[in-house]
Amino acid sequence: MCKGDVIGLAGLLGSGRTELCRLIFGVDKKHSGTVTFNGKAVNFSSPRDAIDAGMGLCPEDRKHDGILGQLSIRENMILARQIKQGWWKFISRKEQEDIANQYVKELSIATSDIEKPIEQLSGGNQQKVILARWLAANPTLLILDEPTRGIDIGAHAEIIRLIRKLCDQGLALVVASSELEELVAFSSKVIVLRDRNKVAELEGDEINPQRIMQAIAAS
Amino acid sequence: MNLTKSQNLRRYLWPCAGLLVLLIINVIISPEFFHIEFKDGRFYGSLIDVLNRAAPVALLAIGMALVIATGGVDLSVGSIMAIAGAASAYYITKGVDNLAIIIGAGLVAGLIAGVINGFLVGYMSIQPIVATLILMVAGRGIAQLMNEGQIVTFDHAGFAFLGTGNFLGLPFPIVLVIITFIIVQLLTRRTALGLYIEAVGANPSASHYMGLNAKAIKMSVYCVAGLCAALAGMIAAADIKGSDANNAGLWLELDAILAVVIGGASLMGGRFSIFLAVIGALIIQTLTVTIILSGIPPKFNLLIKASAIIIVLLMQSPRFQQQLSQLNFWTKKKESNRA
Repeated sequence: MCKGDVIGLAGLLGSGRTELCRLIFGVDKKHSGTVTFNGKAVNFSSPRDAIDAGMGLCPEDRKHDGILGQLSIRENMILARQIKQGWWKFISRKEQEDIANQYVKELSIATSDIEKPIEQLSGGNQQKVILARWLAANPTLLILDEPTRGIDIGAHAEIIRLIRKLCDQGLALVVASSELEELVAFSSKVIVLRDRNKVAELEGDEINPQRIMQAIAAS
Repeated sequence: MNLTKSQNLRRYLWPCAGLLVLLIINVIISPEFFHIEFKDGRFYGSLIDVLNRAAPVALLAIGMALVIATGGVDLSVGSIMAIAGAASAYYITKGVDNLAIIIGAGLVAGLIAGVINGFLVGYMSIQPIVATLILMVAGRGIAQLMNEGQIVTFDHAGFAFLGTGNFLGLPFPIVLVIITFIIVQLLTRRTALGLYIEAVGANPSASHYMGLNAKAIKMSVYCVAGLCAALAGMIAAADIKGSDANNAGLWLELDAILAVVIGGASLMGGRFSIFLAVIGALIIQTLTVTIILSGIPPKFNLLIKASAIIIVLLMQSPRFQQQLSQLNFWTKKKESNRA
């Protein structure tokens, strides 16, 4: 996998997409196999290790694993970067506001105020804040698990546009999704999972909904 | 912009308004209330007295605010007060004269208690209310053992200063609260620790995904709570020049929790303000003084305190405010129908 690549993870519900994302990121422990990152075999025992290595993960369950409901948009955005820097290197209030305002503008997040609690935003805007949170932490690899789940159509298109833009900027992405059209729209490679195993790897012209569907359904 | 700013302001408005109302009631009952005079190098007056007596609960509330922000609770702080007092008394009665050792003993006792709580809650994932209940019960037993079942009295001028001394004209307990407040405020708001604590309380799972070490954060807040309780315990012991394992800090953990809740914090965790927690402690103490000043028979004390606290909490509850405004709306509608 190279800079600017987008790898799509396809498969039915329960085929192991989310589990794979969590495993790469060190949330779950692996029983066998190796994770290779930047040419090195890595063994993350916690998300902290993965973040230090330059990864980020937007989890599938936004409400449960993503947003800090009571906290403001600003705090939600800067937290990942702050944790990466360490608690004693406090990002000043001014810097925090600059970062938040910059991403609100860049990702066109619809909000009147960066001090609003994130739980008052719509699903699509919450997802954008979580994206911004990781972008602010400057990762080299960003894992997005179902980035468009529970989001209205307008925001949906916008997030796909964002994913494209990010990989143009040289960020490597892994995107797990159950929406085939979405995967086709931005993936440079699609990996199809079934029962927690890789059953197909599609590249270039092979990436179209029919082929992915075939790979998912073939037994 | 204005919406969220006014919401933030409102968090501070209610507890401060509550305190102000109580103070005004006190002045009406006793016009002398605000009178402060400077005599023999220190200030005297009811107001100073309220601050001085509120000091132990204010110290506990500072630690408790952090613990509650992580979604926990520490029931053992009252017992930690007894342990710290007993630890200091132990060294004084053994003939140690070095103040650093005496105070150090109390603080170390508080720190050990905090580590035990933090270990049980953070690393063993035991529910905070149960984990700290262990030390709440066992703590008094430990203090009794240290005192060998007696009420240990002592005479040590340096140590007594903690409870009865004056610094810059103020009783020393007040100075200790101010120092502790400043240290904790700097640690939580000038570094990212405060944000981490709020993040762990607001959503533990999401914090984990961002690489936060919730265990270490929980450990540290229980340690701070233990240290604050140790300070409060030494003030209490210094005040009566003795260590009473059975009564030192008895039920004060509940006052501390109450102070934090009056300060508008949610027991579910998240946002915290140690300033509001201290205001909460002041409200509790002022209320006690109000009841005494108003000449109501002391047997009504607890009931009046409870009712006043219910009123404060209801005023803060968004649900109650909502229903209140609906009630207004309903009566207005009725009136307009009539018209």
